[in-house]
Amino acid sequence: MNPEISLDTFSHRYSPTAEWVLSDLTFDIPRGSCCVLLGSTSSGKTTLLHAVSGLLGKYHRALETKGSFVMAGRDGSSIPRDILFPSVGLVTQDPHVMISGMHNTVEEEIAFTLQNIGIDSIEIHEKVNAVLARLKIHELAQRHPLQLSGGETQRVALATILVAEPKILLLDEPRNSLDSRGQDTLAHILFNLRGHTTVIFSDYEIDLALSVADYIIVLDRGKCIYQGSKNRFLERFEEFLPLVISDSWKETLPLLVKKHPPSATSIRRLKKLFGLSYV
Amino acid sequence: MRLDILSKASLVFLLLISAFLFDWKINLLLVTFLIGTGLVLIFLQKEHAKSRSTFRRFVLYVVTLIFLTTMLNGIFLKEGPVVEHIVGISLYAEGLTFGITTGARLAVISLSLLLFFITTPIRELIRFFQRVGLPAPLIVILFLALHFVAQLPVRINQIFTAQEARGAPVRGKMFARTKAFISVLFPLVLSSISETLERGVALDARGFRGELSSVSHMPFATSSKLLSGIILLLSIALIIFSLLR
Repeated sequence: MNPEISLDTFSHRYSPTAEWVLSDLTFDIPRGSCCVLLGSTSSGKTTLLHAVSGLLGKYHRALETKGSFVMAGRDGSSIPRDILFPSVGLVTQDPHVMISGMHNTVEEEIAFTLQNIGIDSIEIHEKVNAVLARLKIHELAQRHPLQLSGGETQRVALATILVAEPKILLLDEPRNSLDSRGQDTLAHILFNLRGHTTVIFSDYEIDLALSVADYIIVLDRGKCIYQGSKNRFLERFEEFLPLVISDSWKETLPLLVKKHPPSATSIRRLKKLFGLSYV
Repeated sequence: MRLDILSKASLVFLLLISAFLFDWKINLLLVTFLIGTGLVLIFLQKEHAKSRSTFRRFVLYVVTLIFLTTMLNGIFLKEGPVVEHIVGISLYAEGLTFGITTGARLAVISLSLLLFFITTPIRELIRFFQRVGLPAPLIVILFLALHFVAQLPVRINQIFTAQEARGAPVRGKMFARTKAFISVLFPLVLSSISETLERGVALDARGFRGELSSVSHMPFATSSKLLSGIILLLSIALIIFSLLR
């Protein structure tokens, strides 16, 4: 297994006097995997994604780090101090800020990313059409990017990054503002990216994680309390219940598990935990 | 005939010059002319529903601005003879003249800029700035600022609608509206600044490195250059005439 990102007792705080925001993180994210960062609010998910993208290092020069933060293809073991786009692409938590506001159509807005990285105009046209088709947003191509609904903006924001074909795709709570159809499309896209793109997305519920992720990291107040495969997570997940599963999920979980079957041990666990005879 | 952006920019320049050179009577005529032009340009075009509502609201603000500036100066600038007594308050001639001059001037400036922006698509505006040689980072900063200004009324409306849904008296009488407006103004401005910063960071995350696809080599049409030249000459002639008068 070739790790794309490898952290060893990595800690981070914004200044030498501040509290540690990320603390003693040790994990490897396999190359080409789809990894989910699970955790409640203020668990450090967004900070970690910003660290990988280079945003954290670039905009917080006074930050202090400990331990090692190794990324494939980069020298050294500290966090990147500049934006790594297009090799690493980040879709921020609020998709509206991904829209520059300088273009009249969604098509032009997506093309803007490619113009930024110096792609020539013929190739831009092809790539934009391809990403519109891939995300099933062809009907939005001529719409004004600032006049879209929340779900449409989320998909366009994803398109603005995906069009550059990053090696590592980072998504900060990507299913925010997506309806169930939008979430299905997102799950489908993430599933298809596996193998050639390392996808890391953050979430606070486990449904999308169970659908598409093959690697799970659970964060709690800046500490990693679990890292490993989906099956191993299901075997142990009673430990993380208060963090990642709301009561409503006790009802939905059986259906999800049926759709994406875990190992026999996990099924026994689920039965024991929820008394689910039909899992 | 559709005016291109260079001709429009030259016309705006002429109007800005006129606002300062002429007295309030001519400026009020210009205000009427600009409102009339806006009506023709926007109200008759079906596809400009959003611009139509923006323009309608703006005209209301302009009329209020001229009225308030005139009255407040008439009351508090106690110079010249008293022209009128209204419910025991004296209105002074000098104050009224100064007020209406300032109000009409501000109205000409804001109306001409508004007409320019609502009749110019964003892409055309960016191309114009590039053609006149403005550096790309400056263009982006300008757009982030414009977006910030444009988002303020939208956000105010969103907050007011949400508060109204909770039963708060935000759309009632003037006092209730003002009170509600003041209470949301500061957090709103702060959140808009924060969003503008985030938008800048997101641009960085999308690989923007201070360059926009260049169109600076595309020349302006000869007719457009000619018209702009005439307008600029007229502006210069007006300035000279005003200095010699």
